[in-house]
Amino acid sequence: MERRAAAEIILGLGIAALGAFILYETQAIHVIPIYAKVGPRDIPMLVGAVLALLGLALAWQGWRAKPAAALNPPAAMDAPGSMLDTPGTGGGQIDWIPLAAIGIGLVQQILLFELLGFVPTAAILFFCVAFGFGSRRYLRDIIIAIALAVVAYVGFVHALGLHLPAGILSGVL
Amino acid sequence: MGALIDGFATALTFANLGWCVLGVTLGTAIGILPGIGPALTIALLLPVTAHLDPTGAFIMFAGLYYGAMYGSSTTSILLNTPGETGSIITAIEGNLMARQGRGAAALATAAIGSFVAGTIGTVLLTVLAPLVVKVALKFGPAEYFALMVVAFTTVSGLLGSSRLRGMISLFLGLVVGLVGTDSLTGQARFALGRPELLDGIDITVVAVGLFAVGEAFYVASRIDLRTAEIIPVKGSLWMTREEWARSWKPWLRGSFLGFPFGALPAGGTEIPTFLSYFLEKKLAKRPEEFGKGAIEGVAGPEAANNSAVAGVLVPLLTLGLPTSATAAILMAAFQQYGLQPGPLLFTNPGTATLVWGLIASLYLGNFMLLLLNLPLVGMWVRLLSIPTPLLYGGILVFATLGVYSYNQSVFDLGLLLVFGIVGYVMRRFDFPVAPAIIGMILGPLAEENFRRALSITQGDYSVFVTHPISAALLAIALLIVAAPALMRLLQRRRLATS
Repeated sequence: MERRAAAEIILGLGIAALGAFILYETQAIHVIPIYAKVGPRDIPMLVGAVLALLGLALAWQGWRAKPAAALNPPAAMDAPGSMLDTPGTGGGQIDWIPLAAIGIGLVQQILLFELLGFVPTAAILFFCVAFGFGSRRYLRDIIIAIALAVVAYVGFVHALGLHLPAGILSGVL
Repeated sequence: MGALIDGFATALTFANLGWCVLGVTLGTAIGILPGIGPALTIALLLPVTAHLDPTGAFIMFAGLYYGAMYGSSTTSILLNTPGETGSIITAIEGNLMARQGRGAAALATAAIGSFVAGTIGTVLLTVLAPLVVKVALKFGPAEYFALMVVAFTTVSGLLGSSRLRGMISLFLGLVVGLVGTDSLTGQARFALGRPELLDGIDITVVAVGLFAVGEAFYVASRIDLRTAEIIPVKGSLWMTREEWARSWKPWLRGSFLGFPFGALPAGGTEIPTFLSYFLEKKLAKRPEEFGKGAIEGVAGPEAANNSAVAGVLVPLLTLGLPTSATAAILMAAFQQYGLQPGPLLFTNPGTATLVWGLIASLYLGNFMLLLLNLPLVGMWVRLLSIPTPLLYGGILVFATLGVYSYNQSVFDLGLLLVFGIVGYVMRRFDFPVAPAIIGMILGPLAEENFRRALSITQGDYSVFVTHPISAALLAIALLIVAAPALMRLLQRRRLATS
């Protein structure tokens, strides 16, 4: 439960930093003098300031949290849904390998999308996600990945008229 | 009344009936697949429907909106994984019924209850919408601003486990909404030198990032969430006389309980389902059955959920005020077609046919859904046997496809990953996502109305308190924010005096 408090401090400070960044960036907004009264800067200033305060409040809450108090989640325990609520931390173990697998799938798509085209990158993404979710039937997953990517490409580009990069398969599909 | 008949004339054309069938079918399928909700589906369909005729597109969205609710109750009963907060109760009580071999009866009471509640909710929508429009036509920018402040406080205060987390989620959404070109002066804000950001960040990217990518990260990282047991459907779908007798009153009570919670910006479908559950438990002849699979505990909450879902359409269509994540995405869909939900949608003859066609198609869609969900439930259940790895692989392929094709921009794929990570962190540390979506879509409108109101009065802030409606709304908002602190203060005082 101390991890939750630590997470609240880190997240809170991060959110406060984002609020401060908004306040700083607001100065870059150009204001034409006629709009000086309530112009394009005022609401962003307000939003940035409140966000910074909320972040500090969250960090304070994490700092103050006593282990005993933290053991009682704030959700209403008598509600019949509480047995289904998945607590943010504590309950359930976090497995980092699936996160990395899905992350790699998404990053390779961003980097290679225009170079290789939709079909290969989407197939790799599908495979990475399936791997991340614990599937170890590689051959089946590869076949489904390629089939789905090809069908999606043909369907969306030829039937619905969307634009997707053909990449290495240009001229083939 | 005449407007509704015209609406049926619109909805009953061959093409629009086709869109309605497509919407309800797609909605049911999507509601059944665990991990995909109506908000995500409509967000993913936005790029595809951008070139369609708006009336057809909205009739499809309406079918999808109702269909997803029917589908998600099937999943809750057979899989015990509620797709959205409104089906938590169905997931408990219905799953217990299914475990006792009464799954078919649970599915039947949920489907018929959804139909009853959906129809009652749509009737109330039909009756109320013109009345609200009449009032809303008198609203100026100050009133709209105050109304949006109320919506902000209710969505961030009532959803989720902590108000602080809800507020943070709301303000993160407001920040995202600020990015882009200022609508009143044309100045670039927070574009960070990227031309892609000058047009702002699309709701599709944010919604798909938070709901699809964030959800995939979260479910994959939790070993205990990856597998779920499907309970086969047992028993007869034709409810017995006793089951009918025990269901019809909860359906009606649930319907009338759920609607106001959806229609007032009072924060979603979760609360009325809980209230309905406790009400039915109190009124039941055998309350000891609750918690062991009581049919009233499925019938009531399921009806409350569906009529709240219908109720959400009242503020969305008449005031342009989304009170749920799905409603916020629907609002973005209207904006995509250059339509702004609000009273003018009903009074402008061009858009009146669209909106009444949409309402008429809700009646039709609801009826189709009953047919689609009762006799064909066996077919739908097969969707549940798709292995989770393949399901999420497919979800992410379509998510990236949809996001890219909206602007043909790889930059948007990068943003998708960023919002996916944000969504994962929010999910893991219990931040509700709906306030962020609503903040993002309502924030720019609130700012615009705030500044319009002030430019009319030449910078006189008193306009917000001298207009009675605006003053009353702001007082309500203040009360919602301050209530818990006041209660604590009163309690402390009572302790001090006693």
